Amino acid sequence: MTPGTPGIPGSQLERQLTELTRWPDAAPDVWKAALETHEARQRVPILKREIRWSSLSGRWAAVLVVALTGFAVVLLIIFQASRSRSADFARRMTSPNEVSAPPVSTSPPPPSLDISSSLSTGSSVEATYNDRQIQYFIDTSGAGSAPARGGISGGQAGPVAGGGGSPRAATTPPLAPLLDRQVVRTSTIELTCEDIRAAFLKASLLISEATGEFIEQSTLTGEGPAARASLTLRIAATRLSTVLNELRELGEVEAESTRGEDVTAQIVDLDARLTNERRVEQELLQLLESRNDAPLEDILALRRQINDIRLGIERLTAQRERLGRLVSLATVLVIISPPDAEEPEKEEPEDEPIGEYFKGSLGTAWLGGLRLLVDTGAFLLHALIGGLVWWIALAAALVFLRQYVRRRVQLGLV
Amino acid sequence: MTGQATRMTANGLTDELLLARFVKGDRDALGALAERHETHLLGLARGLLNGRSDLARDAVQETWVRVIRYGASFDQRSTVRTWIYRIVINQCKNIRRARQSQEPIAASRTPVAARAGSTDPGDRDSPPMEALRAAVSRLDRNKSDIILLCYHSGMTHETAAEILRIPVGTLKSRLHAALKELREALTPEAIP
Repeated sequence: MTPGTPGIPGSQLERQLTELTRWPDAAPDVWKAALETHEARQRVPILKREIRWSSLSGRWAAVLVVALTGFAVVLLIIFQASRSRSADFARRMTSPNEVSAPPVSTSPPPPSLDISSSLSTGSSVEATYNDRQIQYFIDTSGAGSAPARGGISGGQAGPVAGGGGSPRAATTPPLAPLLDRQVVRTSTIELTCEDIRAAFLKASLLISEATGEFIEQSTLTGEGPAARASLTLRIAATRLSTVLNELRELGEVEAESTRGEDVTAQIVDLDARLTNERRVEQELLQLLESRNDAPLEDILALRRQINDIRLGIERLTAQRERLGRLVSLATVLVIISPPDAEEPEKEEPEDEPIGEYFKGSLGTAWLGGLRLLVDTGAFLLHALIGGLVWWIALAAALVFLRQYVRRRVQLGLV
Repeated sequence: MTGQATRMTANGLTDELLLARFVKGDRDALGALAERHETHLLGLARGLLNGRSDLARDAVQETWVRVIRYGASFDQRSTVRTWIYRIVINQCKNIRRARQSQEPIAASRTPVAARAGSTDPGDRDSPPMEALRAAVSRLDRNKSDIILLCYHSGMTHETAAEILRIPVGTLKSRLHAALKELREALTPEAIP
């Protein structure tokens, strides 16, 4: 080691470097002090160094810590259980039909739809609509230029032409680009702000009536700390993010959620059904005109059939328009409340005897307790089984960590 | 630099035997072990702690405490000397970390500033040594540690590599790079 230094010769630098780690004096025998320190520490057990267990306050502190930890764990479990219950309840209460059905609609509930398609060139799509089998023949090789053929099995027979982009969209689940998706968007935003009325008015002014937007519902109740406001805005789907951004500036966002429901398949089915029904209607009308000399009974039967088909067309048209409105106009539910708003106090029943009230409360508490117990058990089972892989991994990690720490401690490196 | 793996005293006892005797209750064996290594440990600790003798004494005292506490569980996968040196280096790092969290790093890494709190007259260096210590302290911690350990009295490259748990070749290349940087730091124009 001869570090040649421009300023200092190599051997001199080497000597100087050695000098840096030289102890200039005699050894101060710090090992004796270390021995005394060790013996002093040995006289106090490790646990007693941290907590004076002999003192009553130390014991109580330890008991308190253990109790608080247990309490926190129980609270966490209860919180998780109640949250999962709430989520289940909300899931049960919110069905897709409920979200997509506006109050103005008087149409019957959407029919059940089941589409299975084969995706090869010249593919066929089979759909079950209200227990009627529909089959579409779609030429996907010709970029949608060729008209589609189709027919209803088990129902009225006749050729069906796939007009416009409907048959093309029928194959959309795996093939169509995402931009062609027809999605019903529903957003909920909860805000808190000091001036509820001002926020309510500002939120009302966010809609653009010129583009067909409107306020579906608005409520402003109470004053001061008890004030509450809620609005249901129908916003053009293209402006949803803009409006949400403007709403966020009205106050502090407490909660926000956006939900999208893909109705592409429903729209495709409705379009195809409408086309088919109109064609059948036309054929029946032509038949009626061409068979003027037919018996009266046959003519009346034909008319009844035409009326039934017309009724079906009207229903399908209403459903199609409703879906179109839902897609083009997103729904935004705005809830505005003052900060730290307290729940309005529930009025106690005045005339209820105390005995009845006591029994009712006991019953409610008993049922609630049982439900909570079941939920807690279910949650624990869920966490135990669902996280079995993670529990094993955690146990292995802890064992490894314990061995590692023990090893480091044995080496005196910790 | 001597390359012996285990050190023998005049009466022929190795470090390992002395530690074993101490574990069995012979306090004099620890004294003999300390007599053999304590000065060197103090010197290395002083170098690693920017020339602070008081901090070096603390580091070495804590090292002996750990030797006393964990001597019984020493598994002889390395020599006692290597083990003790590892402990003292770790203690020095702990002290440096603790001091860096208490005061600005730049200030603690300047030897003069670092020794401002020391009242030990032995901490006063001559001006050339002061400049060298300042240049070493300006290096990266790993580099300065390697230089100080390798030029520590009686240290071989093999022992230093074993203490640092790195191959000898790696140690030599790092030492070469550290010395090159130190030489550049010691040129007249580089000295502030």
